[in-house]
Amino acid sequence: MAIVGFVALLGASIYDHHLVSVSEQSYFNMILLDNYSSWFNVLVTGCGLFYVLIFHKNIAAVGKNEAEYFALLFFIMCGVYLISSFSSLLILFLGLEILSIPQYILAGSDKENIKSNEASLKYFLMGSFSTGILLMGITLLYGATGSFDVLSDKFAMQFVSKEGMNALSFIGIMLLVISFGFKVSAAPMHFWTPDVYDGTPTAFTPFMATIVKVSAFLGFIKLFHYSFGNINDAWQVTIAVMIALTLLVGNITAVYQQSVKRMMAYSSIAQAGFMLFSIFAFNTTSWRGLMLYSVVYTLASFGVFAAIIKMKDQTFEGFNGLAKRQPVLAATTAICLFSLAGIPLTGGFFAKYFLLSATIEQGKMIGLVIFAVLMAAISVYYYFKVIISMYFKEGDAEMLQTPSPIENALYILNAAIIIVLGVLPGLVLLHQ
Amino acid sequence: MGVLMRRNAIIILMCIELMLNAVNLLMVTFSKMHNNADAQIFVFFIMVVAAAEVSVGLSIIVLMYRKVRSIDINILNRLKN
Repeated sequence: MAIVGFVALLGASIYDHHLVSVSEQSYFNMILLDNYSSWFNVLVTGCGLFYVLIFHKNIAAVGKNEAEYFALLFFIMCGVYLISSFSSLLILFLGLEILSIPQYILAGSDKENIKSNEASLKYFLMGSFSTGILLMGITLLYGATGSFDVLSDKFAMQFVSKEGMNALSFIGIMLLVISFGFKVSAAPMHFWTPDVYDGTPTAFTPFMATIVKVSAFLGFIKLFHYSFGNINDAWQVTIAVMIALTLLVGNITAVYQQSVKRMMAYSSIAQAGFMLFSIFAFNTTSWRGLMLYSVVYTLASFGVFAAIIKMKDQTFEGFNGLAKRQPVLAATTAICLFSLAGIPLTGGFFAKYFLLSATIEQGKMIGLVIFAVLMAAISVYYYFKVIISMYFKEGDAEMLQTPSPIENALYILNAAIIIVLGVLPGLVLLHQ
Repeated sequence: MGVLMRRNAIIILMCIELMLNAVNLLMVTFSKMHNNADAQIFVFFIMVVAAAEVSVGLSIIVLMYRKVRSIDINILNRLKN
């Protein structure tokens, strides 16, 4: 049923994308559906369809109320569409809330498990705190400009140059950056991520770590590039510091993890650091890079989590000898890990390449790019630890359940898409 | 900044509500300043969303209380592996 729903959504968003020839504002100038946002909707719905196809059995097995879980997933998708096509700060706020509130429930959906309860409470407290900060930022911006419409003349006049801007709007932008850091788990505000991703039922973690995160990124790249573009000197330094910290913390801590699930949580922090480059670099390459990165990162994470959810022991030792018992699952997981590490011939390489080249095009802070490449080299270490234990260590890799032939076919399709995107990245890039 | 200091989950929740109310007041003030009613509509939306958030939050706290018989968030840190 949910699969049918996602197919219908995919069809609708593809139709929408063909319909939108010029970007136009509607609903009292609160919604702006342009080429990028409609294409992003298509991509994210496609990923959502994949998620439901791969994990639907696991989602239904989490608890007794399976119908509600799928309904909440669709609520989250609704929030995603609002965020991707906002042009008023009101819609951005509503979209972020529609995105977050169902997640608090999904995080706590395994009611008998204390870790799930803990994750839910922690996520709720952190999430609503960041909402408060977001609202404060929006209010200060309103105080400075007198409008919520980020494309309006009032907004444009306030943000013509760095000198013309007053303290109110500067503090407002900084508060928005902070709350955005909470939502995408960027470094100084990342501390909730590992506990929440670890405690959440494994069926929901891939959704939270990927689709939700990339749509928050789309919302903020839109906000920062459309309305605060002219004053990029004012916030780029902050974003640069966040990138450096996020990459450092995410990658270094991931090296020391024992559990693969927790390692993936830290790796998602590190990947967020890469995606932050799209906000830092201020040109069209960064938009296209973000689209590619979203798809590749989402699919690769699905592939890895598909393996984690089948394992009885989620530590690195638990993966020992998986290649002998489940050659298909091990091979697709390995391809997904290659892609996350950014090895050429997988999609992850081009995704990283586009974002870094966008930064170089801009010509500022080349040192940050070199740092990011070094950090990517560190990430190879912990991703390959999984591959080594799957292929080169002896063990019996106990499984909770063995994948059915249909599931194996899905894993192969998933890995195939990643490799195709690694050879032909143009498929998901938007040609204007 | 009671959110950062307090240890009781319900008090933290109330502090978050206070933050939202501060935002509401500021919204109305700015709205008066700019002679523009947009922000007053925004306040309604904030109220609705805050109500939804609190209902979810309180049910999560009840869930937690049933499990550990406490709403002290320090207990959560003890559960870390």
